[in-house]
Parts: sequence; C-alpha cells; structure tokens
Amino acid sequence: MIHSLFIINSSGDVFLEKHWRSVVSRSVCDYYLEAQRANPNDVPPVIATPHHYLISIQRGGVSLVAVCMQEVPPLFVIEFLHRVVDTFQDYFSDCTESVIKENYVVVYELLDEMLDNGFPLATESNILKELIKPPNILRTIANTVTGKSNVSDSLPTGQLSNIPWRRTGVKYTNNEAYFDVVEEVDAIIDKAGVTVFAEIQGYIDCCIKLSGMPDLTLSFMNPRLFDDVSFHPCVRFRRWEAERVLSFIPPDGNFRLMSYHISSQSVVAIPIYVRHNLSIKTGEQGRLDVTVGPKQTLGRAVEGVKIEILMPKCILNCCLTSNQGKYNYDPVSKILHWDIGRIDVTKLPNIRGSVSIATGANTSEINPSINVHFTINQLAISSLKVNRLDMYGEKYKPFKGVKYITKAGRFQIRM
Amino acid sequence: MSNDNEVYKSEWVAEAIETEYQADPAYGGFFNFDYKKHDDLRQMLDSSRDGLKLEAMKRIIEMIAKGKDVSNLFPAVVKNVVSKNIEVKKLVYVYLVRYAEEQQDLVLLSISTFQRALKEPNQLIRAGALRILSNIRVAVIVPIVMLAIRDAAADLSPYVRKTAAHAIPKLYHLDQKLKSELVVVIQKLLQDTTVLVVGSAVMAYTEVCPERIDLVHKIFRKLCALLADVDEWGQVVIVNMLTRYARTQFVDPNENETEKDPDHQLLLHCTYPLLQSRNSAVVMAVAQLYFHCASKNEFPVCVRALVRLLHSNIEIQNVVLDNMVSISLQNKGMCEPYLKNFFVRTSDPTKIKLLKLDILTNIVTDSNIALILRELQTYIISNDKKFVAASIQAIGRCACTISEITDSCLNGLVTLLSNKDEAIVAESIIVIKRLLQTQAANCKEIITQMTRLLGNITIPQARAAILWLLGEHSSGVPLIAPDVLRKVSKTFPDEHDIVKLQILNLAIKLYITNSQETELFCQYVFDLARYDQNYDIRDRARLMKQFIRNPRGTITSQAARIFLTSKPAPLLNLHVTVTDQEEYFQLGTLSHYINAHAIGYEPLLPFPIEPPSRETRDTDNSNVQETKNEIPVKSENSSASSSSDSNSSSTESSSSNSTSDFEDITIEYKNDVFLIESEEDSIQC
Repeated sequence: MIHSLFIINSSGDVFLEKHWRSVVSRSVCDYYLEAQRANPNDVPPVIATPHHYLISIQRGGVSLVAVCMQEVPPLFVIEFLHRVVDTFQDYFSDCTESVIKENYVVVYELLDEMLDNGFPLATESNILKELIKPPNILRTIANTVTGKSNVSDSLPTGQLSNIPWRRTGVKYTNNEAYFDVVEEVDAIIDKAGVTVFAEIQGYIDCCIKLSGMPDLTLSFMNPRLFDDVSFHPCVRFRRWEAERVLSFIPPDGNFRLMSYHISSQSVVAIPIYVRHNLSIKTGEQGRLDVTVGPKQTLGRAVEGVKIEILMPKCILNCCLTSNQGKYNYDPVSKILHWDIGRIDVTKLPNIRGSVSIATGANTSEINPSINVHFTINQLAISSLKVNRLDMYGEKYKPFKGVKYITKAGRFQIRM
Repeated sequence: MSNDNEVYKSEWVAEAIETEYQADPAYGGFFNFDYKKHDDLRQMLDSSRDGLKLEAMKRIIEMIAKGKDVSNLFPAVVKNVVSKNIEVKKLVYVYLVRYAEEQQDLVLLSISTFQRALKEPNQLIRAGALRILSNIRVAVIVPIVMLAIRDAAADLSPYVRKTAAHAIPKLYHLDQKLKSELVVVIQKLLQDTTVLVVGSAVMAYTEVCPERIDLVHKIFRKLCALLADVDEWGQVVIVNMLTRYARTQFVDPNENETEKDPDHQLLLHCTYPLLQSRNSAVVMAVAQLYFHCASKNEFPVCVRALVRLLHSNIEIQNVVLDNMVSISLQNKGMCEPYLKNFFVRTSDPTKIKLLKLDILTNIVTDSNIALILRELQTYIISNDKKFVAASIQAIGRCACTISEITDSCLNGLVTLLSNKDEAIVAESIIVIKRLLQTQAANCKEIITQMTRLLGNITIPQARAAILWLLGEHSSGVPLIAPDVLRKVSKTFPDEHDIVKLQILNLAIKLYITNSQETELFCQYVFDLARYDQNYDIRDRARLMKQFIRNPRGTITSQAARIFLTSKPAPLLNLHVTVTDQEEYFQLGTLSHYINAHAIGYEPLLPFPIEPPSRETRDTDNSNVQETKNEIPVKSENSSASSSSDSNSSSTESSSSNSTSDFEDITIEYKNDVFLIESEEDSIQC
C-alpha cells in the first residue's frame, strides 16, 4: 500500500513528507520531477523506478506523490490522493502550498488519521471533523482560554455505526436542505456545425443542515432519463433499483449525492452555437470573424459565456474589435480568450478583425479549436425535474430548495 | 504570554546564528551547535505548562513535515508521552513513530505507557496505543506487540479489532517468523461479522497469507452478503481477494455451458451494485472481477460504468483508458456502443489521446469504419506531432483489419504524401510500406510516387522505407530503380545509418535482378560502405560483397533465395501497449499499467477444470444462508445504526431482528455509550 507521501510545489520543491512505514528518502521524487520536466502537462500517473512505484496526482498547483513498494491497484491510490485533497479543501477551503504550510500540524494529524500503515483508515469528512476539528479563529481563541484542544479524545460516533458518514447529535435552529442539480454538456462539434458527439454529465450536490437523524427520499419526475448513475454510499441501491427514488440518510453538510450520465443515445440539446470564419493565406493578413448565439435554451438567458480559441502556431498576433466583452491574445500559448458574459439576443456578440501571420510559416495545417464555457441558470438541459423530497424520522419541517444549473463541460468546436 | 515571547525571541536568535554558521563551512563543532539549536524547544518541552509543550511539539512536527532532522530532541520528547493533554500526546506519538527506528533504546522508555494505555476504558485510546505500539518498528518489542494484537483481536470494541487487523501486517513485516501465530489471529478476525472489521481483516489476510485459500471457504458467503456495507477501501480489497478465490474455486463460465455454481452467481450478484460506487477504484475492482470471472455476455454492464469514469480526473482517465485498451482488444463489440466517448479532444493530454486512438482502432468494424476514418482524418491536422503520427498509424491499422477499405485508406495515405508537413509524409510512407507488405496490392503507382518524393524527404525512417519498398518491388519498376540507386549512391556518405543499410540492401537486390546496369553502382556503394564509421554497415558490406565478388560461388547461386524471398508481413502493433499474449496482466493492477511484473504481483491462475467441492463453503449454522437472502432487506435498513459492540453483528441483528427492532437499546460498556437506534424510520418509508 502507500509507504510515503510527498507534496511538491510547482517549482519542484518537496515541502511536506510523511511516512507510514520506514522512511523513504525524498530523493525518490527526482524520478517524478524528471518526468514532470520532460512533459509538464502530461506526467504519467504511475512511474516505475528501480525500487519504488510513484503514483501521483496534480491538483491546485501542488503534486501529491505517493510511494509504493509493491503491487497495488493504481486507482486505489489515485482515488485516495484525490480524497486527501478533497479533505484539505473541506478543512481549509483550499489546497495550495501556502495553505498547507500554514496548517502543517493539522495536515499531519489528518494524514495520520486517514492512513494507517498505508491503508485508508478514516476518510469520511464527518468522522475526521469529529476527531480533528477544523481550524478557525474563534476556536483557537476559545482553546487558548479554556485549555481545550482541537483533537477529540473519544471515538466519533459515526465510526461504529452502519452509517459512518453521519455524525450523531447534529443540531440546527434552521433546518435546511438544498439540492443543486448541475448539468454539464460535453460536446464535440465539427467544422460544419454538426454535432459529432454530445452527452450530459450531471451531478446533484447537496447542502444539508438537518438536525438529528433524518431519512430523506428524493424522487424525480422523469427518472427514465438516466443512463448511468453513481451514488454516495448513503444511497440505498436496492430502493433505487426497484422504485427509482433516492432514499438516504444524508451526511451533515456539503456532499455529492449522485452523479449521472445521459449519453449520446438520447438527443442532447446544444444550447449555443458559434459561427466562425478564419481565413489565412501565406504572406497575407488573415481575417477572423466569430459570432456567438443561443440555440435551444428554452427561453433562458445564456450567461458567463467565455470562448477560448486555440490558434494555429503561425499566428503572431491579433487585432480585433468586439461588440461585447473583452478579449486578449496570448502569443506564447496561442490562445485567444474572449470573455463575453451574457448573450443579448437582440445584438449577438461578435468579434472580428485581422490576424498577423509569421512570414514564411506553413499555413496548410490550420486546425484551431474553440473551447466554449457558459452557464444557464434555472435550467436542466436534460429536462430532469425533482418531483418531491420527503423526510422521515424527525418531527420538524425542513426548508427545502432545488436549484438547476446547466454548464458547458468539455465543449469543443473544431474549426 | 510574556514568557512565550521570550522563548520566541530566543528562537529567533538561534536561527540567526544558525544561518551564520551554515554560511561558514570552516566553522567546526556542528554537534555542539546542534545541541544549542533546539535548546529552546527542549526548555519548552521540559516546562510544566501544556501550552508551551504543545507549541514546542507543533514546531517539531512542522520540522518533521519539512523533512528536517530533529532526532536529537528524542530524549526530551519521549518524556512527554505521559502528558495528560491529548493533543500533545498525539503529536508525541507522531514523533516517536518517525524516529523509533533510529533511537531503538530510548523508545523503550515509552513502551510501558502504551502497555498501560492498552487497558484504558476509552476505546479510542486503546486503539491508539495499539497503533503506535505496532508502528514502532523495533525488534525487541515484537513479543509485546504480538500479545497486544492477540488481546485486541478479542476486544469488545470493533474499532479496536479493526486496529488489530491493521497491526498484523506491520508485525509481519517486522518478524516473518510469527506468520503461523498471526494467521490464527487473522482467521479469528475474518470470522468477524462487523463491517468495520471485515475490510481490514481481509487486507491483513492478503498481505500476510494470501495463499491460505482454505480460510476463505467458510466466510465466502458472509463476505458477499456484507460487501455492500463495507467501506469503499475495504470493498476494493475484498473484491480483489474474491477474484483470486473465484479463479481457484469455480469453472470457466465461458467454456462451461452448464449452470454456474450458485456461489459464483452470488459473488457476481453481490458485486453488481458496487459498479454504481462513486469510488473509481471500487468500480475498477468489480470490472476486473467480471472481466476475469464472469461470462462474456455479463461483462458489458461494466463497460458502461468504466465509461462513466472517463469524466473524472485526468489521472483516473489515464488508468481507466489503459485498462479499456486491453478490454477492447479482447472483446471488440463491448466498447462499440460507447464509440463516441473515445473521440479525442484537442484539450486532452497526449497520453490520453494515444490511448483513445488505440481503443478506436481496436473496436473498428465494417459498420463503424466510416465514422472512425472521418475522425482520424480530423486528427491528422492536429498540432500535436506525436498524436498525428499515431493517427496515421491508426489508419494503417484500420486498413489492415477491414480489408474492404484497404484501397481507400491507401489512397488516402497517398494523398497525404503531398502534404507540406514532412513529419506527416514520413509517417505515411512508413505506414504505406507496412500496408503494401501485408496486402499484395498493385503498388506500382504508389511506389513511383513515393520515389519522386525521395529528393525532398529528410526523415531517415521514411527514406529507408522507400528504399526498402523499391528493392522489394524493383521488378515492377525496372526503369526507376537503377536511377534511384544512382542518386542515393551520391548522397550515401551523408545518410543516416538505417538509410545506408537500406541502400546496401537495394544495391544487392538490384544487382541480382539486373546486374548489367547496376554492377558499377554496387561496387561504388560497397566501397563507400567499407570505410564507413559504423561497424554494422561495414559488416553488412563485407557480407554482401561476397555475392558480387565470386559470380560462380555456391552462395551466389542462392543469392536470390536469400534476398528476394517473400518476407512475412509485420504485425501492426499498438504503440502504447504491447499486445503480447504471454505477458498478460490482471486488469486494474499496477503491473498491467506499467506492463511489467511489479514487485509482489501474482498472476491469476487459470480456472480449474474440475471445481473443488462447494460443500467447503457451507457453514455449520444455517444463519449465513439466511442472510444471503436478506441482502435487499439489509441494505434497505442500513439506516439503522446498529452499532454492535456486543457480538451482535449487523447481519445477525437484521436477520434476527424481531425483538430488537422497535425499541431503543443502550448498551453501556465502561465509558463508551453505544446506541442502537430504532429502525422505525426506515420501515415507514
């Protein structure tokens, strides 16, 4: 299993090391750094070195490198490392070098609880939070005065129950349950505007602040839409199989209840179109003209539109005018960013102008692609609808809320 | 507070001195100085105030985290192991574990504290003490740890039992002679019916005695029943272990038409819901179980789950795609419905692009070839050179698998020859060469066109490929071939080694078929080669010269058979994974990903021809049989936090729950209070 963990910052310094078995010298990270130097954006997740196997992830500017000595399922380690970062984000609301450095001790205590001898021990955030309280100013002051500590001396109640994800004795004055249905449209659209591939990846993220031990049931108007689903461990699978309702005792706080997949078999509405024209000839100035417009949005406004055009290598610079939003062109990475914002239907956003081409450059291979970002509030593009939420087991009446958002996932247009 | 400030100050001073000393290597007495360096920390640790101690420990832990050596503080720290403050204590533990190996004697001072803690009423402290005790890797305390594990394995708290399971592999690595004793403990822990313990017990089993299959027989059905409620990490370990078990106990479902063993069916049935897990490792574990142990028509459900994983992080995508390459290679049809999920985006990293490309070419069939070829055509104009090369190769592979499209692919590749990008042209030539080799197509025109390109192309592999093709098919183009030889003999000295070898090959082949026109060129080329810097080329020239020198030698008469025989066509291999059947690794393993034997990898055994008796799995009490049927009910009732400190396992409580269901039961165990909650709620809904 996991022998040691090294956390490396973007400039290649190891700034945290933790060993669960005998100490492994940090020089083992050199193999990783070498791979990273060779190919910064494409470091293989598993690197075999003569005596160790390095399994790594990169997130938020830091790399977590786990050292293993023998056969282990790579996904096991990768998934755990992501869970570590999730936990840090949960505790410190961010997982960057400076945050980890500020909280060395808590980080160390957390890592100590999460792994025992390289095998995961407690990874549920509800349990961890009972064992080690997240740092905050108020508690620090209170602790200094009263002499209490951030570390609990009794076993979290969840740990022993069949529902380890929930702590007992939760109390709120306002009992609330919020559900965010987030749908991401993944699409590839070809030159002619034809959809090559489109699917929807959806999530239901919850923020549940309910006292006691509530048992919730969430049902949908149209559960037949789902092609494939995955659940938080709290969801009772058999109930879903039989009745297509989500029945669960929720963890306390924020968590992802389910993620689903509506795949290419069903028709996916594409809420946005991009008309583009880029003409380049060797030795001349090229012209670029891009227009963005809404399409199949069921009357909702398309907001937060951003466009990234990955330009061909031969383009040195752009001189453009846009009727909406700001643009900038990075001549090093050859990416044109155009931040549009909300699309006004009466006056479609447009950007046009000339691009200068390197002299003597080979212009035959032009294959720019456009990445599109957008959000549409109050709309689930798959037309998924939550039917009702029922609560059993507690007497009070909770406040319930559902919010729908559609976003662009990996939405790409080939030019 | 003022006291604290002073301490801080003194630390600042100490640090300032430190830098000064480090800057001056001539300054001796590092030990002396080291002693001084942590003097302030030592004082703080010795003080009577918990706040100061905590502050000192925090700073020490920070230094450990940064990788600094603070082992010289060991005596000062080890004293604080008796501290009443729980946080100080915890940090001291962390410190002890880190340096125990280096300070074997001093660490013994702390052992008695842990031994005492093992008897504490608080289960968290008991478990913690066992954890630390087993983490201290000192040979002297092995008997103490052994004793502690044995006690803990019989503890009433499942949390302590779990810790005991974790401690077993630690002790095993410290002293392998204890194996037989540890196996007894493992056996006991495997019998445990609490979900909390089972995962860890199986982990200990796989680390210590995976060969003891007999231990699994009796718990097999129980494990299947509990699986859904075990934590994610335990699920991975259990499913992997059961995969190995299944390969020894059941017959191959693909070869045997007869009914599957009910236990085999039970295993597949119980693992099926896990495909819906949010944890990619669990999904992968189940997928590999189905891949290796289920019949082919049961597997497609796993592909759907794996495709879902392609939406997670890059690292997960990478590993999953790598496994899907193997899956698609074995069963074309399974991945085909998800064809479009493997289309490449420009934003994907190169490795992922290549893997997707491999899958696309693996699943190509008559019906989807048009779609895939159109995709491949768009990939060819990508910015990513490595990917472009791979795409061209992929076209070649498609052409090989689907014979109807070979001609159109070939034509497509030939049009690529007029591309302005040299890299594309070179790659196309190499692929065309391979294609022509596999297909005895009429290649005269293609070769003529390629020879025309010879003047412009500089990439050695491509030049070599053209020359080789020309030599093989020289009879088809008798007018061009000698002229090409003339041209390349002029550039011979400046060519790359592999091109030179091909020039020699071309020369000898032409000499055999057409000796009048080419003899002088041959002589010339061989003379040049004789003085080449590369010994390989010199050797080759020396060998070949024999065929020219003695026209009447025995070897010369056989020359045509040596050089102009028909060569077997190469297999168009994948560029990422080697499709070597001999090296065939279990799916989802580290070895599979790196395509090499990782340390500790055990290959899967083939299915037995005659299955062992299934009676071995029958348990004495029919209770387990019952639980098997209870699975759906149990999962429904998982709301019931039946925390079972007494031996009432979760399964038992649900199968025999008639009495305990509708009342609150409180079991008091020393200080810890466990609640068994009413199950009313879940029953209502």
